Amino acid sequence: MNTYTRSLKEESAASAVPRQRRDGAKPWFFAFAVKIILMCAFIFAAVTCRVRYNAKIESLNKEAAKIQMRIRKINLITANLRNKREELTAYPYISAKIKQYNLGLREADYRQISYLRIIDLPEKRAVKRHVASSNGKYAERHTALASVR
Amino acid sequence: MTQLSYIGIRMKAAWIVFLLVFAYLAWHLYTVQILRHEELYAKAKNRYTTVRTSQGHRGEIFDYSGNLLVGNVPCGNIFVDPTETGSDAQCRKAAEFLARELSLDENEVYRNLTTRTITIRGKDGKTKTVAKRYAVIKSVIDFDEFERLKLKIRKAGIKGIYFRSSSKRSYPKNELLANILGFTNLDRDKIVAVIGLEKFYDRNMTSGKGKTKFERSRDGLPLAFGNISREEAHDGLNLYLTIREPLQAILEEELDKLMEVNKPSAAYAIMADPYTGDILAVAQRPTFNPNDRENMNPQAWRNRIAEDIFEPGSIMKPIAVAGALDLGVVSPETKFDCERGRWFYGGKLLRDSHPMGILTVSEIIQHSSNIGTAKIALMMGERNLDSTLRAFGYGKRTGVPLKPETAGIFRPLKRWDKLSITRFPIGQGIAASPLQIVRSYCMLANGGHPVNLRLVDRIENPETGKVEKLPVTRLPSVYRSKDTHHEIIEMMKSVTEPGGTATIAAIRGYHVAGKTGTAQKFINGEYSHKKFTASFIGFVPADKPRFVLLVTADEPHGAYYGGAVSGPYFKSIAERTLKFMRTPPDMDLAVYDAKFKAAKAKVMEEKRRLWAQEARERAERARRKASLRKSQSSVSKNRVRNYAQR
Repeated sequence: MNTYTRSLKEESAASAVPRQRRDGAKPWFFAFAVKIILMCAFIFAAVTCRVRYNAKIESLNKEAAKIQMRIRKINLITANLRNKREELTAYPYISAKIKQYNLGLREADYRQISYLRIIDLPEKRAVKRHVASSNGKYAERHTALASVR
Repeated sequence: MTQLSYIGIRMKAAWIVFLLVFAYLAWHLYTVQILRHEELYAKAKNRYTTVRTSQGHRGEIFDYSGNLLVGNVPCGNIFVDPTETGSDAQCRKAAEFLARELSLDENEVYRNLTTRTITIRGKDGKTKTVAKRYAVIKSVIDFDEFERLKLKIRKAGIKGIYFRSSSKRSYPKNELLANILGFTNLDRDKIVAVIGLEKFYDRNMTSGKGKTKFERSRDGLPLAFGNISREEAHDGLNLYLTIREPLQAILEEELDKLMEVNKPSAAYAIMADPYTGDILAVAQRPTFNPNDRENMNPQAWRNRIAEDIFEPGSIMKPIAVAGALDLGVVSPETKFDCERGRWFYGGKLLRDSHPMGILTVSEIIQHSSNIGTAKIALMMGERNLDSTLRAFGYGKRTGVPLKPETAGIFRPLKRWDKLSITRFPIGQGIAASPLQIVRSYCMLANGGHPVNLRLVDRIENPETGKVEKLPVTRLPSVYRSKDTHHEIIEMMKSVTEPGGTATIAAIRGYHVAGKTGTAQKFINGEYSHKKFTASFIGFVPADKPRFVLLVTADEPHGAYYGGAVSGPYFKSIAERTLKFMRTPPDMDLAVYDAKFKAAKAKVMEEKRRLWAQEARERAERARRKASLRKSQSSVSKNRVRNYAQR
């Protein structure tokens, strides 16, 4: 029962007895306030962090959506360009252009075609040399050569 | 005391009120959270949950090397929400702008912008008026144009206009392979495959719809911590054909030339690999451009190579002769009397294109003698001829992925008449599709191994990258004798050599094995003398063929012989193809020229001998005629003299 209640019951006869504080003791209110402030600060910090975190997530989300839109658009442009490339590289289109610009192109004659087989590559030559000098120990030499390479 | 009791009452009243309010709140909370939970939760969810649908891409079609033949190209649709378009004056202004930019009728656009309600009939049969929130202004706009218009319309600040990207089917090569590829139509939002591969593989190429359900924020974006349920859209499967685009282009170009020069009612050409049955190129005329729907002629849609049949004519001869050689009934040197071009059998006359005397089997093929071939078939017998033609695939579908495909007309043995045995081997009374003919020649070219013609090489799943290769079937040869293949090839080579019916199809440096076919068309119950089908089919190089090629002209104008009409185009297509395939010549060109010259000289010598013989015979006939006339006149003079003496 606190002082105020007691005073009501005892009517005016009762006089409020002021609380006596011991000398040198800290005020109870200060300690309580510090605790509350700390708690509030902690909650505030946590909530602020969470809000900022959410805001960041949302902004990233929006950014991702924008990038997705851009990717979709780039995909569309790519598909369109691919289609155009196919149209332009089609033989009927090219032959029509050859005719249009009267280009004197003709097909190759067989005699113009020749095959050049490069059989003496430097690496192969090296292998051959090793094989020749190793009296038939081809496998050994070959693996050795491979590791050197 | 009095004051204190008042306070007590007020306190009690306050407590009661407080309790009542608390009880009410508790009850309300119970109602909201427990009793009406499902209903209210659903309502709330509806407000902040969005469903977004997406459509995967329809499968694309590529040639063997991955050149795109049918693809999907982005396009755009412009539509309007008439409830947002504003006043009539604003609508008029907007309609004027849109009509100018989109090349549309202004009144039509205005009507779309201002029609804000629509009367619909409900399920209960009652009509009601609802707000109209969607009207198409213009659909399927090309992507570049769509992007330009989007910017311009947004800049103009027209209210209620929305833009939506979509995709449409595109055929970047236009007419190239159009009949085989087919095309699709749009029925509202649904793609409907009409003909060709598009139709045959529709189920595989169709894409699936995707659905994303998410809780959204005010700006419509998904909430980061909201529930998201996803059903991914899936793309259709891609087809890779056996077609080689460069060869296809060559074929189409040469076929166009044929159409221009000979003006037939239709023409087609097929090129196939004889070992795998891969169709390398296939073209037909008339054809269509699937990108130009306004000028598409339904008559040109038909897949003539699979649906049409025709009497092959002399093209059948090597098949029948191969059977006879394989059975050992004849050898290449067996001789037959070709009756000087006229022979009666079964009460009907069989004619050759020009009179021929006694010919070997090789010469029968070289000169394309109907009578000689009929006599060979008679030696074979009906049963053997029937089994030979059936072994070469006549009367059976080829199984290419095209619908419908004809099985041709080839009567069962029990329904043959007396003439059948003499007519079937020369390609009369039997009808086959161009594909069936090509299949049988693939067998001739590869040593008698039956092949299944292939049009699709592999099917790819674009999402997983998994590729399924369609199998190549290789069956044992139908020949019993090892020599049959070599013998028939040698005979067919002679067709394009001097003295043959298609020297015009010969290719310098290569041995060409082939056969001409000139078939009268069967119209109204009789063979026409004016309408023909002129064909040439062959393979190059003869001994190790890279391809089998059929060129057919239906009802050509002017010349109508297969060798004269189709032969030159066979030659030009084959020549260009061999260069593309980098196939070196069979022999040195100088040697080839010398051999060709010698063969030509030999033929000329033979012709001269025949002409001389003919001239001698003519002179002899004239001399006999003159002496007969002389003797007749002397007889009559004697009679006159005797009469006078009496």
